[in-house]
Amino acid sequence: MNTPVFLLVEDDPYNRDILREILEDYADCEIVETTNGREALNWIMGQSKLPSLILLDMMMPEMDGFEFLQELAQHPQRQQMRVAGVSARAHSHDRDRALQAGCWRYLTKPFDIREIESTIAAALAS
Amino acid sequence: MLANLYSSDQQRSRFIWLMGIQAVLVVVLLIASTLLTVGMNRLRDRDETLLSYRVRLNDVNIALLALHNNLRGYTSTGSDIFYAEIQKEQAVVTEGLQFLLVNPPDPSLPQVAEQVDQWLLNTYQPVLDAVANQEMLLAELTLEQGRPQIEAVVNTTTSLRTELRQRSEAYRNQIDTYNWIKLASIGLLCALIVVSMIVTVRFWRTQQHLIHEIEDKGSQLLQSNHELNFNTNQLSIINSILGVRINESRVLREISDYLVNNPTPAEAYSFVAQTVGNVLNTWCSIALRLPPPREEFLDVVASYHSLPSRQAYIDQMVQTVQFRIDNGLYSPVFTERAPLVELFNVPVEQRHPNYLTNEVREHLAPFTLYSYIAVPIKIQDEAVGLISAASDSPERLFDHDQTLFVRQVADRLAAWLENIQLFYLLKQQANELQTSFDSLDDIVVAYDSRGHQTRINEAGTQFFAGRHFDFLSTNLVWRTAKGNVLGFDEHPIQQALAGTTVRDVEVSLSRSDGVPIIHEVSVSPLRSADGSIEGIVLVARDLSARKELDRLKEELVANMSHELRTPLTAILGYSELLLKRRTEVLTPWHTTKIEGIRTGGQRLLSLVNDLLDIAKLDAGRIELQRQTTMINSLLQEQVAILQPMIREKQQHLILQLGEQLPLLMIDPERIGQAVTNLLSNAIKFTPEQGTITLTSTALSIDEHGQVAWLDQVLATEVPPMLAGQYVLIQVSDSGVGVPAEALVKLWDRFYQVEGGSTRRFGGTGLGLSIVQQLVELHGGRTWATSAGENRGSSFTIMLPVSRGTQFVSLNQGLRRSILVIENDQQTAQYLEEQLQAAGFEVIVAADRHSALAWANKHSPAAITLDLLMPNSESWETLAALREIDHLAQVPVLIASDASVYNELPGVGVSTYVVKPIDSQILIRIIRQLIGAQGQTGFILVVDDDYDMAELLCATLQEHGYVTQASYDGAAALDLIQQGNYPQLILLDLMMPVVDGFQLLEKLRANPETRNIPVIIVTARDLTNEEIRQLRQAAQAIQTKHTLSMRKLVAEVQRFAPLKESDTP
Repeated sequence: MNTPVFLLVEDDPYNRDILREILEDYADCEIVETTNGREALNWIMGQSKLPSLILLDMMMPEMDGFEFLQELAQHPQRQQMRVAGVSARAHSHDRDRALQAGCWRYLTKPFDIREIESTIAAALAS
Repeated sequence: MLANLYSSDQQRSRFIWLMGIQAVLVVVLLIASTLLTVGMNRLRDRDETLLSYRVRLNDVNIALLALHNNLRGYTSTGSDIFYAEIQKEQAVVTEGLQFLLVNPPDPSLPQVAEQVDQWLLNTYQPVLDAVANQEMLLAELTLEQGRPQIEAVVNTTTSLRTELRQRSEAYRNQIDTYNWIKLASIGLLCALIVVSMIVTVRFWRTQQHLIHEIEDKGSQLLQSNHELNFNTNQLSIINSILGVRINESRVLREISDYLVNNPTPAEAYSFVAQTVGNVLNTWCSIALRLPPPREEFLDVVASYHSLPSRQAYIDQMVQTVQFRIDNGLYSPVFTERAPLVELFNVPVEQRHPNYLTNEVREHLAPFTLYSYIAVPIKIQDEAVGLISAASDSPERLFDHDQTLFVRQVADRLAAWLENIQLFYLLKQQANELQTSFDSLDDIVVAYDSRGHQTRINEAGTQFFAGRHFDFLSTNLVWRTAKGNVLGFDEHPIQQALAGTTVRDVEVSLSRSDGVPIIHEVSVSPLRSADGSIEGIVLVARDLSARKELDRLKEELVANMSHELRTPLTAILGYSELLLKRRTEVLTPWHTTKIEGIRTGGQRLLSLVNDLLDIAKLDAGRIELQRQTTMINSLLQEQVAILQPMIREKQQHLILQLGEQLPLLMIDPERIGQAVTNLLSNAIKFTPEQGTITLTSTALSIDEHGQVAWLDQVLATEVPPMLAGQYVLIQVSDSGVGVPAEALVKLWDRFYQVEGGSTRRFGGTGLGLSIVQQLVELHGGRTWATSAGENRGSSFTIMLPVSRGTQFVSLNQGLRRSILVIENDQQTAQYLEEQLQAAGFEVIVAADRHSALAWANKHSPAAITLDLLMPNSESWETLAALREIDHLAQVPVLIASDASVYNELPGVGVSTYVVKPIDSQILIRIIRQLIGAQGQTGFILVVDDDYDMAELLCATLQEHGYVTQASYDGAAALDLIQQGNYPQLILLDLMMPVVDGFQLLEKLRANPETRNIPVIIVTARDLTNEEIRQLRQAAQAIQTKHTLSMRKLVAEVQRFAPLKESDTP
């Protein structure tokens, strides 16, 4: 029962779908899909098993990625959760901002499948 | 008195004349009376003489008689008594005769005497002798014999006596007369004398009177003379004073004149000091305060003494002494700013012991000051210096007048100084201005109120290379920023001269090297203090950089659109194709993914389009390609496109399209885009199974703002608009609605009602902004209403009906009109008949001017143009027609002689489509051009993009057409030139080697290929210029033969099909 859990926080259904496909293709895992930060947090709060990787879209309605990270920081097991930020914004300062907010990796859209796979691998490795 | 004198002069001369005349008369009279008296005396003498003669004669007479008697007696008696007597008598006679013979009064007297003598001789003596002889008888006889003689003598003497008595009487008469005359003249003489006495007296009295008068006057004169003398003395005193003053005035004038001629300051001060020193014959100095921070010190700028020997001392002193304003004799001049005059009857040291510092005293040792004037030089009531005069001679003490003089000199100097200061200040400012003026990159030109150029800055001079450029020239075409040409009465310079500031007009100016450069110009009026316009200033900014930038932007946009669209074509095209075969080839999984691809591609496409639209709108580069459009058809097209989306969400679409709506002169693509945007928003924001209503209707607004609806289908408030007719399109939905505060803002760019909700539906928030801008470009308005959240919303577009079209419902029987531009009367008539027979209304214009005049105000369905009008008018007409917005889409058919074929640029392009192609539209066009599928022949697809070509071929093949693909123009040409003529060509313009335009030209040149319909397929938005170029060319070429007239009419019908409602 050691299937890793991947948490998807992404509001766009297509993007979510693509990420899911990529994840499913790559590894045997459990995928939880949420459409905004609030949902994601709610789910995390009620969990004992923490996700190995959170793929977090930075631009979402209701609660966006940054707000989510802020809230997540208060989670006692925050350190065990790896967050890969996902965004269409490719500027270096967007990247820096996300990393500073707590992202472990930063992925830009459109997705590079290989980049995502290597991120997953890195997440699973630890 | 003088008059009197004058008249007395006259009087005197008169008097003299009178006296003269009188004197003359007196003399004359005297002479006369003298002469008369003399005459009278003479006459008296004569008279007496005559009397004496008469007496003698008488005596003689008597004596003779007596003698005779006595003789007788003697003879008779012989008595001696008688003899004594005879002797006596005879003596008397002889004496008498002797007497009488002296000056005989009468010539007969000598005769008488002779006779007597004779008698005496003959008678007397003989008698006596006889007697003596006592011959008494003989004596008696002789005596008797002698008697007649005696008697003759006695008679003669008697008559003589009578005569003499008569003569005497005459003499006496004469004497009397003379006497009278003499008396008269004496009387006259007396009268004259009296008169002259009177006149003399009078004259004398007048003269006396005059003399008295003269004496009076004389004494008066004497008095006056005394006074005069006195005054003269006074005058000479004043004169000498005046002399001095005049001299001073002259000196002042000299000073003024000198100063006016722009001397250097040193020259001016030296001159003034010298002049004043010389006039006052003294020592004159001019000193000015130093500028801060040393304003307490004085700089002696000039010091002159009229005695050269003293000058040296003064020069020395000036060089060595530092003068301060507070420690000199002159100090009060600065503290009180008033002149100072001091007269020293004692040496000045005694009065002002402290005034001379030791060093000054040293230098002034040879001098003793006796009087002193110091006058401040004041500029704006500030004492900036002083002019002083000091006299070191006791004789020369300055008086009030001299102080005045020095003050006047000081005034002039002050005025000059002020002017100099102002002058330098102005010069400095002018320099600054000039430097700014010339350092500007923009061209700045100033004109005076009469439109003459007064200055031009360095930039302008360089631009025009010193040529005089006339901005008022009628050869310049001025345009607004939007490109509309300004009329002559809107000439910016004229407007500015009338007082209006004009901005943002553009004009093309030729640079010195001949290159025309567009400039942005603003012109402002220059007003003088009283508000009147004294000129204008024109600033022209080189727009070439900006235009270049705009052009680059446009090119970038155009190129980017190509780049962005091309891959999208593949994405969308292939995904479409795949999905078409989903039932055969795809699993549901594939289907979903490919649909995802398609959706992503569509979203991307719409985003790209939005971005490009925004860019174009920003650049003002969206130009509307207006056409007369039936709005309902347009709406139905858009609905058709969106039908699938509606069906997917199971929504209801209600169409409420008004009947007999007026035709709109709009760009159907853009309005279509707007409507689609609204519809898709409605679809997006309405939940499944919701209702969407699309309504079209019309209304009119009169001058008072009254709204009259065509039908009662819509109940909505219309914003205030100009009077006219309008068409309204409304999209209503039963969806999420819009909060009240967002109703206006949601048209703003990037506005999203909630960051979330639109994200939920996708979109950038650009759509509504684009819709609004597009509608406003058409002169329309947009607005939104909503009953509130989740209560649906309505979006309305209101478009004005152009003036050219009319309400068809008014059933005026508007026939489609054709403008025939033809200068040959016969041909024009023929065309008119033919076209009228076909049901058109024909307007004939014989030249460009009347053609344009009509075309500007009307919307013909088509225009025929004779190419052979004189002076290449045809091309100009064509170009001018294309400039007219509402004619841009009107087909122009060229009627001409076949020989001009080869000269025509462009080709018979029918239309063009833009990638990504809506295949339905493409097929429709192709069908229109060459008929439905099943026809023989093939369609040639020319495109260097392999995918594109494949896609097109596939699409066409779907519809049953046979296709052939070529990947560049050269290959296409080869194919064609081998005799393979396609029915239709789909042509990509942007190809290497032989691009689309070149291919078109080649096709044109060949009569075999000339008529092949060509559809331009391009990924790139043609710039408006290119569209114009393509459309500018004839859409069909006909020849002037009877047969082709029919063809011409047919062509017209094809491009401007008459609908049933149009025929009368």
